[in-house]
Amino acid sequence: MSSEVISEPFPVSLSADAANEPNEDAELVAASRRGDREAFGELVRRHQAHVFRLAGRLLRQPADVEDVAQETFLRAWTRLGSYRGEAPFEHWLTRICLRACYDRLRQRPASRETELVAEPVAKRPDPDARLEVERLLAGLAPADRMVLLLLDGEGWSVAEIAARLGWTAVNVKVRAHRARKRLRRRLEEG
Amino acid sequence: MDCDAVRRRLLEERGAPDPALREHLAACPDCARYGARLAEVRGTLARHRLPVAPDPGFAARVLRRLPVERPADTFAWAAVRLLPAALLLALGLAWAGWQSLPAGDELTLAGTDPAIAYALGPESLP
Repeated sequence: MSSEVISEPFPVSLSADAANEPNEDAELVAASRRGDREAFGELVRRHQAHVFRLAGRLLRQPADVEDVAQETFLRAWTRLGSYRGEAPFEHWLTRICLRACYDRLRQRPASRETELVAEPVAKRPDPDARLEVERLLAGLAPADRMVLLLLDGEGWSVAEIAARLGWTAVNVKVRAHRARKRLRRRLEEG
Repeated sequence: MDCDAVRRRLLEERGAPDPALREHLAACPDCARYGARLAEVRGTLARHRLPVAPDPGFAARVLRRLPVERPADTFAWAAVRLLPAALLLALGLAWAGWQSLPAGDELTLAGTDPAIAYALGPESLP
């Protein structure tokens, strides 16, 4: 586990549950920092669905999603001392989760990561488009793949992705441009 | 607007195409086909997610793996753990710096550059 400090991203959209109960998050964070493991367990229960949803967007193996979700909360516990409460806890956790996903993606070759699994998407309306997407993603570098999925999958803007990943907007734009260029080539070849 | 510009805009912009784009798409079957495939792929990307959810035991598994240190102490402990290594590094650097200094006789010889000695006169030669 690396020991980098996760800085707090500026506020962006928040899930309904977390937005309604930020004060409870702050109390749970404060208790967790004092060593209250049950309070941290409650934080895990409140945010685990969000973390699984995000990891499920970026990773292709169900076991990886569970691993990365656990890693996300372990990193959060270890680094709670650096969380200053200037941004909602969920944003801070999102950044940790994205970094953990990115680390996992970098560990694996693209071909392995994008192997077709039993049920890789919630619905399969068009098998051709699904194969097109799998092939496209398999040919992208991890960071470019992540940016494309966050742009076109999550619907985040370049600024949101930059803030949540802690990258510069220029870096995100370059990666988005590269991924879209490859997407265009695939569409024109097909 | 040419096909290249239309395709670039379709790729970079989200939302409904503006009138100029719509006009081109209506007149150009290739770009219309490209736009339709792009929309399909984007729809698939939007649904591209493993349907995985945490089971009821997930939080307990996380809690079992937590380190024993309190999180607020983590950075203080990290600093304490790194202190001996930092001291060793500082000592090592100081020793290496000391070793790289020229010895006293080397310093003396360094001052007797022949060109300088010649300029000072024959009596200054060793």
